[in-house]
Amino acid sequence: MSRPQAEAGATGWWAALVAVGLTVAVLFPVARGTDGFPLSNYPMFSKPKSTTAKVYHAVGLSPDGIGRPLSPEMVGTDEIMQAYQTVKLAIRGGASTADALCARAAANVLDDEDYASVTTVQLRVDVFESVQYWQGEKTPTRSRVVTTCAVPR
Amino acid sequence: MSAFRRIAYPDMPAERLAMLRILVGAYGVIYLLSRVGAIWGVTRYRPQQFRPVGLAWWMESPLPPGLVAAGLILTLVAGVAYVLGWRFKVAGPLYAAGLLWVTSYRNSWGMVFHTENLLVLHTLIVGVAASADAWSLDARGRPLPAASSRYGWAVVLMGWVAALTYFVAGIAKLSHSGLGWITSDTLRNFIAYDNIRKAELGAGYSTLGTWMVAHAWVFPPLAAVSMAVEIGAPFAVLNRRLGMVWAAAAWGFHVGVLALMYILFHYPILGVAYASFFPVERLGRWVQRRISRSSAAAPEPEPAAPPR
Repeated sequence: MSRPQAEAGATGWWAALVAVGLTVAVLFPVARGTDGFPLSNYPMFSKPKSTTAKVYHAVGLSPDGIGRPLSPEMVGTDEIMQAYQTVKLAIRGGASTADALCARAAANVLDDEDYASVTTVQLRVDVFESVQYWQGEKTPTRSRVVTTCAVPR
Repeated sequence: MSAFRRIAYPDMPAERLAMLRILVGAYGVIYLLSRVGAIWGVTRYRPQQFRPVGLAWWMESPLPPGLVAAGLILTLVAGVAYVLGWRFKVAGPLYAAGLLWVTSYRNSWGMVFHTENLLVLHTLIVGVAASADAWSLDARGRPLPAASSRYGWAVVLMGWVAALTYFVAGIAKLSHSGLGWITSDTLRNFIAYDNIRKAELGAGYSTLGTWMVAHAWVFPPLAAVSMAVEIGAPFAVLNRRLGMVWAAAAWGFHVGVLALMYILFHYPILGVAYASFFPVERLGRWVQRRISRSSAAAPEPEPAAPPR
């Protein structure tokens, strides 16, 4: 066998190995129903979805009780979905983790002039009717305040 | 068998794979640089939030910040070598592994950024192929190799893996929701919900998507097109024209996602995810011509004054 032929054969085997390996790996999460990284069954947006929207978030309250959502940076990230997960995991982690995140967010609020009127931070779970929300009905149908902490001004 | 060989192992120019190395590598390095804050930011998260995925799956607790920084720096250095095609037999796999590691660790805090999946897989394919046989420091002074399946297989595989990721997403929708995903209000409800999450988390949201929520009839056709792009994706590798059509459709799908949900899938939107479906070496040759033309047009240096 000539050298180019041997090289072509080796490339063919290597290519087949990589191709089969990656194909199996990419399809594997479908069979297992698992979401991971970098292999996923991409479950987001795949299940039936009702109009109920449950939102875990941090809210800043001014002394008159008016609330506004805190930006992702206030809970320690510049990424919206990471912020959502951070708040969700803190709430699900129990009172101590929720309190710790609330205190951290309150400290961040103190350092941000945009939130000068905010005196209290809440971690909350709000439930909205999603279609009605975008037609102006923005009051939650259900609301649970998990923890409240004061901004240390 | 010959049809399979023609599809899976076609002869392609070395420059095509080289251009993909430059595009995918440069994209990855720039992306990592743009996300340094977020990658470093995880060092400030509570250890209880650690949910290891990917290459970090075996870990029980987070790394010390110094090791996170070291991994990132090493990956960036390997990434530059990857783009330049310098010692590629080492730099290729090293950068691919490094990128997988850095993104795995960053995704191990409760939120998996699926936007990074295809970038990582493409980087791996290019990293283990003969991607530095042209337009690289390794190939300096060597004649350009002839077109070969040695380059073609990796290019085809990039397209195949891209198509499969969409196919998998389509299968997930069908298996979880059946055709109801198309015929029901599911897509509308997801768009309404996702935008509420953003609004209630103090971030920007899609005004177009939220306006469209009031018009339920729009969504089943949109859902049908999305599903067709996803389920039909594997056909994209059958021939070049189908590949280009599918790539354009998939790109349009992401433009729609951006417009309606304010979710930026940067890798596909910038076109890098679909570059393997196109003769991208033409881009490199065009750049080469521009460089050689501008160096030919550069003014001759002034002759030195004769000695008196």
